[in-house]
Amino acid sequence: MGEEFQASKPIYMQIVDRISQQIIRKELSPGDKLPSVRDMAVHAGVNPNTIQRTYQELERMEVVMSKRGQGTFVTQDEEILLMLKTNMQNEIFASFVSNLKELGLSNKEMINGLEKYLREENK
Amino acid sequence: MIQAYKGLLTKDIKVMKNYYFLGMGLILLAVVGGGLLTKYFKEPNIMAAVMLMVLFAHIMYIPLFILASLNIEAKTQTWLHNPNSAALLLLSKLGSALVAYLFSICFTLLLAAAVYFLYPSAEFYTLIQGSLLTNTLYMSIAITFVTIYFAVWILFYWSFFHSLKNVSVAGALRWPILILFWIIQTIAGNYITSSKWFEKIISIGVIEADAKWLSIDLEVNQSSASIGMNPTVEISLVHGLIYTLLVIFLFYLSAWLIEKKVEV
Amino acid sequence: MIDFRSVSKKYGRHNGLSNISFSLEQGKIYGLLGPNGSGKSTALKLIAGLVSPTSGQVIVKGKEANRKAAADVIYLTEVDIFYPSFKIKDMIDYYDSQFQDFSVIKARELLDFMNLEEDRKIKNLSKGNRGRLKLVLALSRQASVLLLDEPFSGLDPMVRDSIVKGLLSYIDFEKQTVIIATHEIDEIEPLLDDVIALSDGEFLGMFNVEELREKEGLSIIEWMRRTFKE
Repeated sequence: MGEEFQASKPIYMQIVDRISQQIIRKELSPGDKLPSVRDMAVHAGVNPNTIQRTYQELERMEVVMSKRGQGTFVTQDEEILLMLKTNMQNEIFASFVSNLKELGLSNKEMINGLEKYLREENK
Repeated sequence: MIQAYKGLLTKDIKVMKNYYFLGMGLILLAVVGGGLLTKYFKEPNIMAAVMLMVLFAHIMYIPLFILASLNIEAKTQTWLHNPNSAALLLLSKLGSALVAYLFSICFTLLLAAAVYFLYPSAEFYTLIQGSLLTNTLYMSIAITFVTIYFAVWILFYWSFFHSLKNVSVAGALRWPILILFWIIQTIAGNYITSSKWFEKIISIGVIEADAKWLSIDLEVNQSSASIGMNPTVEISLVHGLIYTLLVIFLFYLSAWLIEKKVEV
Repeated sequence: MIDFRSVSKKYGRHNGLSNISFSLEQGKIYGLLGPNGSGKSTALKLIAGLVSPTSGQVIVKGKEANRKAAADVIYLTEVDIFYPSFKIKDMIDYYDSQFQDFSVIKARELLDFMNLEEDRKIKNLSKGNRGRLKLVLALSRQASVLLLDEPFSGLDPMVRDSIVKGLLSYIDFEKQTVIIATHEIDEIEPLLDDVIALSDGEFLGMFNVEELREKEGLSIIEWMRRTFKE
């Protein structure tokens, strides 16, 4: 069956995130067609109405465009794609930073810590 | 509707295929058994008597066939999930049973003919007056009517039994209620058929068949059919009409019970 | 589409359902949830017209439900629906003759999808394949209501997966209303629009799966756990 979903977040938003990630990673290129609602539903093991909501949300974010009778396409507007990337980055930074702040780390300690972590991970 | 009926009939025949072959097997078993006894005792009458017994056993053929068929349906829970009327569902049960019955009785008659030619000397045949061929045929027709008549009672009792299932108190007492109902029905039936006014009614429109064949007394007291040996036969049209109406009434009553009262 | 109006159903002295009211819309997938014996099967049978309410009314497409509702309702019972001596093909022929909305072409397509062969005898099929065949028969019809009683019970994950995929691929999700009665919730939660929770024949509540997550941050299974602990 489809992937697991977290309990605390609506399923449609979790799929929005997944598709956004695929776009940022260039697994989906600008101008690519998204699977039909039904195919997407079958693939994810999710209610078609949920996928419909996912696509509506992506459209509201202007990340995708639906063309009547043809399907849903990833936008070719580079500015929006850049913004999507930045937004997602910021979202992750925000939660990362707030978590570390709860541990009482200063900004400097965070940067140093991160650099050290990355060095070790790359070894 | 014709397509739906065909589908039901095909299904009912297929479902009961094994039971049908079981019936055939029992007949053959009786014949082989009779044949061995005949050979052992050098008594051809045994064989002839066995054939007559097999023929008369057909009185229970359709009721038993339908009962087995309905009990299969009670197990699968799919029978009543169907947009067609309960009457159509029941008609298919009757139809499929009748088809199997006709094959079985024809098979029996063929065997009987074979027995007759194998053992033409049995005195048993002389008990049957008149032409052996026509008498046997008339007997078979009478058996056919009686078995259908019993079958409709079975339909009724089965639907009645299953209707009681979800009635609060009656649910637990289904068997006693059924037996009580059967006793009342038998007593009432006997009372009516033996009453003067009933005799009067059925004496209207009597045809005296001037036949020397073994008379079949169509006097069916709800529970038993007696086959008399009078040399003449009286066929009462009113009598036949009453039974026909009773059969139709019971059939629709069963259909109504299944439609409205039986729950899965 | 489907309305329960103060419906009660008694079995003898035992309460199957007590005074239940809710209404369901077209084109949604509903989960009918609750522990065993909570009245889920009774609710489905009421919609299919195979059982009639002791009091109250069950309305399906504007009419009081009765046995003839089968023309517009597909009902898969929990128990076996097959005649043991049948081949798959026989069962398909039978369904085709009884239901006007049955499509043999769609049935063949579904058999392919589920990897079933027409000539197999039903009594030789594994439990999983019987579960698959049930769904083939159900999805080959176009009726607007689809009732599934414990479609996953006792089946291994592979079969469950193929049943979910089959459902998602073949239902007409704008026209058909699907109701899945089950006590195994976790795997099908993403499949559902709304959930109706029953317990001991009582109505516990009805809510939208996504809303519950948005407002309370809870999945259905967590909500059920909390409710039943109380």
